[in-house]
Amino acid sequence: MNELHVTVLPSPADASVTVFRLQGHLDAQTVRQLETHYESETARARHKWIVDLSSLEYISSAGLGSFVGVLSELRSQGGDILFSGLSPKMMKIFKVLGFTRIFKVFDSEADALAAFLRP
Amino acid sequence: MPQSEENKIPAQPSLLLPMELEAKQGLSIRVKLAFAISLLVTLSLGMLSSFILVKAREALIRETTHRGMIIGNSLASYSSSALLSNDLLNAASFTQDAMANDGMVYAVLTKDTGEIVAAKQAPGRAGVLRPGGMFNPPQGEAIEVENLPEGAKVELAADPEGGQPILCFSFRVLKAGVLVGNAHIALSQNKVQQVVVSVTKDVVLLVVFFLAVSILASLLLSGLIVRPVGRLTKGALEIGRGNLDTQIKVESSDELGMLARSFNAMTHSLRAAQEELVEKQLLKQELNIAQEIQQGLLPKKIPVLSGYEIAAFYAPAKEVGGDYYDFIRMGPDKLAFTVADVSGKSVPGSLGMTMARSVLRSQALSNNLPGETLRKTNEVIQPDIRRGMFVTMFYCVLDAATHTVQSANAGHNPAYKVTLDGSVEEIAPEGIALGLVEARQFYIEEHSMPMAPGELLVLYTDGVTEAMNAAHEEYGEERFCESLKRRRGDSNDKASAGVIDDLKAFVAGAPPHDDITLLLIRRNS
Repeated sequence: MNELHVTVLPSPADASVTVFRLQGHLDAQTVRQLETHYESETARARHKWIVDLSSLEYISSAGLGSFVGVLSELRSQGGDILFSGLSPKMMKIFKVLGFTRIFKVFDSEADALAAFLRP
Repeated sequence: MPQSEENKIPAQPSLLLPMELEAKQGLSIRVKLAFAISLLVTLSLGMLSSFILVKAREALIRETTHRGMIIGNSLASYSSSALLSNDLLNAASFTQDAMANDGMVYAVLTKDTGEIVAAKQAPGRAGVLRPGGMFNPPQGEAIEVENLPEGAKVELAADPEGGQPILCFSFRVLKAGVLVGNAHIALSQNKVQQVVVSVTKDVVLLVVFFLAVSILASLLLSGLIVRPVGRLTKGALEIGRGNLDTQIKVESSDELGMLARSFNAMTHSLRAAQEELVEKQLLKQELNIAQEIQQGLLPKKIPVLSGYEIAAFYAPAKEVGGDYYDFIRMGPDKLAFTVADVSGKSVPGSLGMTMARSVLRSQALSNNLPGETLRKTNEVIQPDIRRGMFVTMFYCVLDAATHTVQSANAGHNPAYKVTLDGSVEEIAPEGIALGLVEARQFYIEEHSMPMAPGELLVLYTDGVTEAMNAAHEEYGEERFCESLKRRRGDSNDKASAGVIDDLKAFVAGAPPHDDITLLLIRRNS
């Protein structure tokens, strides 16, 4: 059974930004676990997310779809999802699917945070 | 949607029919147990009472014999002088005294010749005993008595007048060592009989009392044992009716308690197994539906386009992955074709695919450019598709008259063009997968290229490049392109088969985790 570990915490630099650190497999099964975190964050009116994929080994289409699913709600509240730490393989998937035209992708969590803080 | 026979949920494996379980019950354990205990009690009481009766009877006879010995001995010793002197009066008084004892039948003094000197008998006896007459004592079975004086006899004889046998005693009467006559007495056994009868009555009463007590006790006791069994039976019947939530109250830690516990554990496992079975059946049913939808959507035959060879290969994964390919006839020389992958699996995936296919088919004919077709398709699909679900699609329109392929790619793997010299060209126009973003955010590029004689265009899904062998290595684009190069000279059907053979040789029997779709279009040389 493939597992997903999700760490959700406010960014140390700016508490209004939530950082999701994903580790393991994000697929049709484990995505439900991630979606409960989405719900609790939006319920607390926290709409600026950085999703760090540097420790993620695998992402399925269901996992990718989940980000798009929540994106419009975040953007309508002035928030966004910024990605960081994509492996070359994940970067390729992002490019093929056109995700790089939907999401902003950064090399590191710090870069993503800087993008949020930029006026 | 019509549903085939095999898609119906199979009937539950029939648990035992309650009717069979409720078959008429014979004698209950309770009755059997009560019967057995009562029988045992009756047997032991019976044996005990007959033993007591026999012993009581023996003791009474012994006591009677002892009494007879004393009476007879006394009569013999007192009457010696009277017999010697033929004193009839005294002799009569001695017999009278002897008769004063309980249960006496007769007391007779005779001369040694047997002539009666004095005789008395119990009132009501008919026999005639008169002085001067001869006395013949009744003959019977000799009884052994300790310290019997010489010449004395004790016999149990039949009463000549009927009724119970009588104990007859005969003693020699001696005067100074000389035999002067005989003393005879007899004791009735009526007393013994009375005592035995009365004791028997008491014993029977006691037996009846104890029997009643034992039946009552055994019923209560068996109730204690049988009640948990009854609960178990009831539980088993409940399970037979299909109620797997049945739990039996465990009250004891004895064998029956353990049985109840294992029964509960069994019910629990049964329920778990049943739930798993139902879940599996539902899943299987869902997969069957998905497969049926998918099979219905795939082209029934490969279209013919002059100057081109077309081949398609499609292998569904066990958990239907959401691949599909399609051909749309645009004109006598114009054919559109597509390979797509829906992000959901099973029924949601196949429904997404149905939607994408219908929308694409309706848009294809009214748009000239593939990118425009996909843009319109996204516009229609996006508001309705399940949130988070998307469709990647490579869509081409081939004009066989101008040998031009126009294509657009909505987030799908790039296509490959294999040229005659063996080089593989990646066809990768950019575009966002269908269903992800609304129309104003959507982006897609148009692409156009010529098809030279002998060139091969390959569209595929990631099921091909991401196929894994047992060592979890991916087939990959490199191996795939090598295979395409190797097979490019074969006729299209053979090339397709060859490419698939290469893939199969790589995965070596590992089950595909995603659908595999491959579409090959080659311009004849």
